Amino acid sequence: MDMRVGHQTRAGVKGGVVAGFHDAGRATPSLAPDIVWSNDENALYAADISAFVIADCRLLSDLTLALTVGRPTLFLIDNPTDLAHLHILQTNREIVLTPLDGIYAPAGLPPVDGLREHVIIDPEAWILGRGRAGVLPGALRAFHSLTKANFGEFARKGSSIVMPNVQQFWRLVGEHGVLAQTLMPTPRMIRVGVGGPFNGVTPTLIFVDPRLAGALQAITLRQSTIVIAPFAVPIGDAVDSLFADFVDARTEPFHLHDVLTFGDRDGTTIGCLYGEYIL
Amino acid sequence: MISTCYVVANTLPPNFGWQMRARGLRAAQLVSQARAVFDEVRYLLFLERFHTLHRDRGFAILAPAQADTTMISLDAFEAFAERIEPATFVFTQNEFVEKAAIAAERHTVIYDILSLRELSLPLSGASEDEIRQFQVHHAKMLKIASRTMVNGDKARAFLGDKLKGKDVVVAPFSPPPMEVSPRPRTHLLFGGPLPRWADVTPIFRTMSAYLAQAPETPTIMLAPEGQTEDANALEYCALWLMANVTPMWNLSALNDAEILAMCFGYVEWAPLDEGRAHGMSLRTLQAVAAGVPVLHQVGTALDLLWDTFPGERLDAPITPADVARFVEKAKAGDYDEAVSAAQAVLNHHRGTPQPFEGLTR
Repeated sequence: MDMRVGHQTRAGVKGGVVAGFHDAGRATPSLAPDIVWSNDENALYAADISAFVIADCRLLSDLTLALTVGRPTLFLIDNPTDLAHLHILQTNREIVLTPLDGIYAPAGLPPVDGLREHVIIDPEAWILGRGRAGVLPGALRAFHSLTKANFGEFARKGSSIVMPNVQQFWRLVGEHGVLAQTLMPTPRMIRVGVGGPFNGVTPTLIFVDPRLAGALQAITLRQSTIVIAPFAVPIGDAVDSLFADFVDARTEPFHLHDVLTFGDRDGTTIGCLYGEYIL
Repeated sequence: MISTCYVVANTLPPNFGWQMRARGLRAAQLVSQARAVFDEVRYLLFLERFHTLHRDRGFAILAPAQADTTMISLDAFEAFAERIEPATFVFTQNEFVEKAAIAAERHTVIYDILSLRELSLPLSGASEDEIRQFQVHHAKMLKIASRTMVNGDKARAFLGDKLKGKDVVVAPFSPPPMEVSPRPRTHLLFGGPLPRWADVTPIFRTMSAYLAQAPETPTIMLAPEGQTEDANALEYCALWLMANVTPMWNLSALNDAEILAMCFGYVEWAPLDEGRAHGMSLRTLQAVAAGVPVLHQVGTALDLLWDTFPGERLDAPITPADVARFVEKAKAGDYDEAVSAAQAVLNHHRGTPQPFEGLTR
């Protein structure tokens, strides 16, 4: 038997329980009928769980939060304490939000950096798809075939990249913001270019869909700028064609720092390129 | 023979690509001042230091194509100093004292005392050995230097007898500000050093109390996050959790200038101690240079530089009422005149070649 397939069936798209957790002092959230709710965090350790729905994240211990590395997780946020708590967990990379994770705030959420890319509006669709509610653009769709554990592994690999020791202001070029936390290994990033008080601050980092490398021509760079570009290229295609696209896009020298590959899926090689325009 | 001056850069000179907030600013200032006096002025960067800074920087540093930087390994310095025509070397602080001694055999050496480490060392938890070593190096530098630069009249008075009979010039720190486009001044800036051995919790509590009363004041807290075992960590986290506070740390030089341009006032959290009163506070200087008034509870080495302090200087712990008053006055433009005057003083000092005059024949 292919153990890998067996594992995917247990913790993957189909089947398995959606385990919910909420504070004993509140009514069970009415979110979707097939969530198995509990007030006991020990219930989250059961083997047949395929996704978590966490209603009161402030109550979970670090040990239990670590379980989210292996399962898609939906955070239900309906009070400022949980919002602040989740923001700290995310900022310190104690949890890493991936394309499979969502945040649902029935009353809306202020545009909090690091969380806003993961806000979903349809929790039922998220639960039915076990986290596969969002859609990545173009070639990056190959990332959809990955499990939560795969994303966790990429986040761990990405953490080995040495980034400049500086406050990062990042700008998204493309529609793949949900990949940002998995592949940008820096805590405490502030997103620019999406309104808010820091909208006009010059970015230190651009998180770009490589199909849009040409769009980098139109951006004014006033300081050296890191470029992080996730990619999915047909198996056998040379990754250096991506590098050439970035070199050609601008006149400033482009320094290729690292290329991480995360294996082959759906006929493509999945990975991420880390480079920098140096001014 | 042309006259040449080498300014030893303790951190990367500004022409090395992307810079952190404070990289090489003293060297940049001295180079620009020396250019008015010498035929040729060069940065000198030790290769070993470059490697350390490179690691800290993470990604690439573009080694400069600029012709005004010499990089040399520490071991090669002696041969270098023997080979070149007699020149002037500026050493900021005394960490390269052995190299300064080698240079002094054939060249003119300037000892630039940027900050009074004899005050800050004990307060930062340095061991007795470190302090003793500093004193030995300090005395040696004073002995071999043909000229000593101090950062202001306050530092000169503090050093007193040690400078007797020396050629001493005052060269206040006035780093060149980075030009950015003007933007609305909407934020209050709160920041400073996060010393492990100094208790800055009172000012943190003050800011928490003030910001709880003033949720409409968006605030940027600029500091590295303290270690969780530090005394200040709890208060730091309390501020971090407030909805009107955005924490930031270690900004690039350009981002630092942009953030300063967004701020109407700067509250510095330096602790009330003697080291600070004679300290440098680059943040205060950069804020003033960027037109931002400052509230702090202890002076800096540059207090005597300005007739009117550009903001408020209290000699007692800052209270929430002090912050509220400062915010109100800053927003009303009450400090604008003093800030402009202080900027003009800094510009004057940056523009004068006086610290280097008389060194060329």
